[in-house]
Formats: sequence, C-alpha cells, structure tokens
Amino acid sequence: MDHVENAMDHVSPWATAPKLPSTHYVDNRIYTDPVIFEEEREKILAATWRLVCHESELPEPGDYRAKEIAGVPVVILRSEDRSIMAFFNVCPHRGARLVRDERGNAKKGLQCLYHLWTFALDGKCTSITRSKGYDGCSLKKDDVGLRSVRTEIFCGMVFVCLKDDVPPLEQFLGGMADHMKTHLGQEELEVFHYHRAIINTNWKLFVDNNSELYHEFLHVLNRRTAVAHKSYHERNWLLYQNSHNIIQQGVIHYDSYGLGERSEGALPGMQPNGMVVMLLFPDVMLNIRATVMRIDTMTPLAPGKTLVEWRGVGLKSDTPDVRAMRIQHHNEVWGPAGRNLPEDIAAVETQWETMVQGGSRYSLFAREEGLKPQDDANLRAFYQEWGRCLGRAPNDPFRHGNVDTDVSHSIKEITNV
Amino acid sequence: MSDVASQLFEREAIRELIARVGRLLDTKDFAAVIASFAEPGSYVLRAYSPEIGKEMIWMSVKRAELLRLLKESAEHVHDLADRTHQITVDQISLEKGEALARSTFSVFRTDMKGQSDLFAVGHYEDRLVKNGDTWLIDSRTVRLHTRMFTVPTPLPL
Ligand code: FES
Ligand SMILES: [Fe+2]
Repeated sequence: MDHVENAMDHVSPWATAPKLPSTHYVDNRIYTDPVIFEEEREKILAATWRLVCHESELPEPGDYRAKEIAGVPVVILRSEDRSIMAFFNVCPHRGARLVRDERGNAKKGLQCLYHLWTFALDGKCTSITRSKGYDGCSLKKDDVGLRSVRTEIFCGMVFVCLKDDVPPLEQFLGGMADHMKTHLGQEELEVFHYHRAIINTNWKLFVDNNSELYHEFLHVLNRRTAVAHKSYHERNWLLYQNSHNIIQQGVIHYDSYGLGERSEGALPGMQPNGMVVMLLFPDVMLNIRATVMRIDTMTPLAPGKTLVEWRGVGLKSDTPDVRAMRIQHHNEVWGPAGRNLPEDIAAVETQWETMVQGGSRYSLFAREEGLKPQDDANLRAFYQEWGRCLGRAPNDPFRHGNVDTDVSHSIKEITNV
Repeated sequence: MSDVASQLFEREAIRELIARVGRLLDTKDFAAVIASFAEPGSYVLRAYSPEIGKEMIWMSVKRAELLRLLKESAEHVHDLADRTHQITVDQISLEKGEALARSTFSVFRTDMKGQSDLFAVGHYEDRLVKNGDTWLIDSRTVRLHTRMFTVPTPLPL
C-alpha cells in the first residue's frame, strides 16, 4: 500500500498544491497516513534521543519509572551507585512485562511475575527458577541479562535512545545545550505536577500548536497579555540544527488580563514576567512563564492518537510558600483545569477530524516575519528535519523517485545563530 | 422540633444543596452556583499522581475567582458537550452551625452527537456553614480519582 487514497484527491481546487515554495506548506497526509506513521516510529521516535523523565522523579536507589518509546516498553531506574540506567521492560525469558506499574522501587532487584526469574538493578540476571532444567543446553544467567537502552542525563533531564548508532545526546542537542544549561542547569529542579491525556490528533499537530506562536490568537489570555503588546513582536526565533528551537525571552503582561505579576521568584535565566518556549526535536516542548516551567512529552500511539504527558516544574529548594505560588501560576494558564489547555486541545482535535477524512489536504506554514515570533520558520525547519529523517518531502510525501531532502533552504533560516 | 427531627431536617437541607449545585453546574447556571458558596469561600481541585508520587493541586480559587472563571468561560474556546453530575452524599457530620459532608460524584459528558461517556469520578469534601436558615458551601475540595480527562476544562466539577 502506498498511501490511503482520500476523497479530496478528486476534488478541485483543494487537491491542487498551494502556489507557494515547497517548504511553505505540507500535505496533510503526513499526519493521517498509517504507513508514514510506522516510518516515523522507526526513523524518528526510535532513532532520536527521547526525554523520559526528570531525575528528581527517581530520588532513591531502586526507584523506577516505566515508559513506552516508539511502542517499546522501557524501565528507567536508579541503581545502587545512584546512576540512572534504562532497560527494555521485558523479561528475556519469554517476554512478560517486568514492572507493571508506572513508578515504584525495586531496591531488591526486579522479579518477573511469570516464572520468577530475577534481575539486579544493573540488568544482570541473578536467578533462574529451577535452573538445572537448562543444564542440558548450557544456558547460563550471564546469557540472559536485560536489554539495556542508551541513557544520558543533561541538566537533570533523563533521555534514552533505542538506537545504538545515534550520536551522543549533547551532540544531538547542539546549540540548544547552552539554553538548557541557562534554564535547567543552574539550580536543582523538581517536578510538582504531572498529568496526561490521550488526545485525538496526530502528534505533530500538537508540536505545531505549541511551537507556533501565531496560535497565540487562539487564547483570549494570550491575545491580551502577549500579542497585543508591541514588545512581544520584537524578538526572534533561534533555530538550531536538528530542528531544535527557542524563542528569545519576551515579557508577558499578566496585568492586562487581571492576573498577578510574576515579578518575584523567577526561575533561573528568567526575567520578571518573562516567557520562553523551546522545542527539542521531535517531541519535547518546554515553556517557562517566569516562575514556573512546563515540560510536555508525547508518545504517539496511532496516527490520530497521542499520549501527552505534562509536567509542572519548580525548584527543589522552594519554600512551601514559593511552591504554592508556582502551583498557582501553573494552574492559572496550564494544567487540565487551566485556561489554555482546553483551547489547544480543541484546535488540534478539530484539525485531525477534518484531515482524517480528507476534508483538508494542505496546511500552510508560509508566514515570513524575519524570524519574529509569528514567523513560521521554526515549523518549516521542523518539517524539513522530519523530511530528512523519513526521506520524504513534507509537501509531497508520496512522490515517486528521488525525494528532495535538501534542507539547505531552511538552514538559511538557521544561520541567525 | 425535636433534636433528632431538626438534625434530620438539616441533613436533608445539606443533601439538597449538594445535589442542587451539581444540577446548577450541569445547566451552567453559574450565578446560582456562586450563590451557593459562602464568602470568601474556596474551591480546590486535587489529585494524587502515582507517577511522581505526589499530591497535586489542579485548581485552588476563592469564591470571587471562581465567579470570574465562570464568567470568563464564555469567551474561551470551551467544550460544547453537556455534563451530568450524579452525586451521592455519603456522610454528614453536624456541629454548632457547621457541617462536614463527604460525597461521591461522577460526571458524565454527552457530546454534540449525543454520545455519553463517563468523564470523571471522585469525592467532594465540603465544609458547610449556615447563613440564617440557608446552608452554604464554605469550602469544597474535589478529590479526583480520574486523572485523564478526555477534554480538559477550567469549569468546576
Ligand atoms: S517470562 Fe519472565 S520468567 Fe518467564
Ligand atoms: Fe496554546
């Protein structure tokens, strides 16, 4: 199967590609097509560094967190020497899931529920039930350790990568590493909020939503506190290799919406009422609103189903009063009962509804504002990187023959850093 | 009225208040929801995250801020579905003009196509006070068991 034919293939003029440079629009089948989704799993989601948690979520030896990366169950745990390691969350005997909960402590090691094999925190098999049954074929404990997964920690953020031949994390982060050090590396952070949802949309549409500052018009709060103010438009996107990006800090006028100032207790690197938005390709979105940080990660489950995890982050050293302030600031805008999340989800779910039946064939990323906040350059760079990974042109993903994956046109936009 | 009768009478009034607030939320009669809260009043939405092993506050507002959120809701892009509360008051303890009540609630969501799903379950922990003859909610803590919403919402549950 090449792609799923949809009704709009036969309807004019919507089936006609926009008269725009090829970088300035995408074919919406990159969101809906099941073949493309499977390729993304293999070539992006399993082949890049993926954020799994913050190290504060694993404070004690034996603490673990379970997670799925590109469909593969992974357990991340803190070992006796306090290092953090990750393994396939799979018993090497016959494939039972080793830890079944999201989080826990396995100080005494891991035991498979099925035939009771046990494993140490370094992944070595420590006992095989009635092992003499394997004497005949000479199977030994040393032959059946857990499959380890590459793990690296940067500024307290725990990343794993399923592929062994991908360059090290810091090389992958490139120019973003310095921004992360500024915002995440100066003081110890602590996660105080976690929630998740399965949203009915393609994962990239949620990346677009968060990264595209033109979408601030969706939120009444942002219309009044951000885009209505001249200074908001006077800063630039900084675009980096591998399609990571960050917008220079802007000042948000909370008072324009009757919300309290965020002048005290700003997080490291933040000015009073400052805001930054970052994307770490492919799926990590960091937003900082002066006093509080939000970290979003995604687990795409199907073309139109995406598990999103949201974390709210403060400083480990917070006093109870300061923490309460951060929680309040978090909840005013973010979280499942915040003002903005329902609006974002409504937008991206309606996009999916129109696209999946072929009611919408192309999406435009054609804004050019000299890298100012509402320029689409960061999204153009994202889709060029996506195209490079898949060997498909985002605007024409089913073109036969050689696909132009030259990213030099978006690299031109990257030369600002 | 005997002590027992008056206690039953008060309990029934509290039960009715808690049920009524659920109905008022369903019909979006927000002015009446707010009128059911005492000043300064508080509304707190809590959940426990087993993923990070922490108690979380998802919303914590006074009556005035709750009023503002409810008034604001029309200008936000909001969920167009209907909601239906089902509330059982499990326990009421009365003491000197005040009361504590614990209820179990479920909220169903009926989308625009008419499909209904369970949206959230949890408990209300209400502290109630008497204003003249009328019971009012002084503080409501909503303890959510549901942590994954199909549609996030700033509307109180
Ligand atoms: S599957 Fe784990 S011990 Fe058999
Ligand atoms: Fe948004």
